[in-house]
Amino acid sequence: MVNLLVKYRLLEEFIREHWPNGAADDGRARLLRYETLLRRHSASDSILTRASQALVAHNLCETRILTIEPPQAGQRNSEIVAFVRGMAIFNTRRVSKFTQEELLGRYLPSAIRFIGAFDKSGNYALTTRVSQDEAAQAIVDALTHDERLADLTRSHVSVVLVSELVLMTLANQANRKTAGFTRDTLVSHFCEHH
Amino acid sequence: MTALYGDRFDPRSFEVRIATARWRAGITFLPEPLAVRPFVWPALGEPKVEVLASSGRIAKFLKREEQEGEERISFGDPTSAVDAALATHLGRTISSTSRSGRTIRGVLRQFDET
Repeated sequence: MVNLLVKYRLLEEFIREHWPNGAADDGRARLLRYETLLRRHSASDSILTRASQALVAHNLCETRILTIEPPQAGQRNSEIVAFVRGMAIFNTRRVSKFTQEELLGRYLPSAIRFIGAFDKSGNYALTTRVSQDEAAQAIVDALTHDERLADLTRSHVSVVLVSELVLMTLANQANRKTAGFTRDTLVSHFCEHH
Repeated sequence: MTALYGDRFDPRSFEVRIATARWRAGITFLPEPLAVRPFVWPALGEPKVEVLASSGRIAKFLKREEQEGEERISFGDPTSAVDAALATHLGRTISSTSRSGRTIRGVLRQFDET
């Protein structure tokens, strides 16, 4: 989860809003410990490694204000996930993952890049320079090239910015504090297990 | 989930053990931002779905794993529960879609694999 926060430049905001201890010495030490754990499981030079080094070196935790805005046409790529409803339930819509990948890879416009699918039930990772609504329609247009998916409509597709998904999940988690749960516990949980 | 269920929640499998039952955590994606109060479904009989308090375009839920001899409880069940509850409240049809925590983690990992 820390990796995701870093990737979407939300870590500083998360520390500022929900985990003030993250800017203190023991918080930084904890980030370094997560980095060590992550490195132990990943041979690559991870995003977390680079970002936590930067955090420690430059003490950015308290200085940055970050905002999330939906992508506008012509802007840089934004990462989105798309979920298509009903792909796994109805026999007539059961299309292999390979076919789904082929349709999206072939028919999506150049402003939308298909990254990959998970399982065969309509779970896609993409980057886009267009709005979420335009991306959803483009996904419908691409998939309906297969006659088994011809009845799909815009309402079947849910598109969420990855950054929005992370924020919404964390916001819901943070709200738990009012019920007596500490954010430190949540941060610790996400960092150690995800 | 850990805050709610402590050690009974396994973040690797998104499973929660409550008494003798196994539940799986997931997210319902709503077509528009809505506040959802917690509720269990069905209201009568043994619950199959517990929708947790949520706001925005996602609603978190637990889906019970069916017991031996019981009809399958799929991730379509939380979708049906949320759609029915919101339709009753709003007076119009709502079409959401639900995914398990495992699936959401899987699709997010696609970005790391490229």
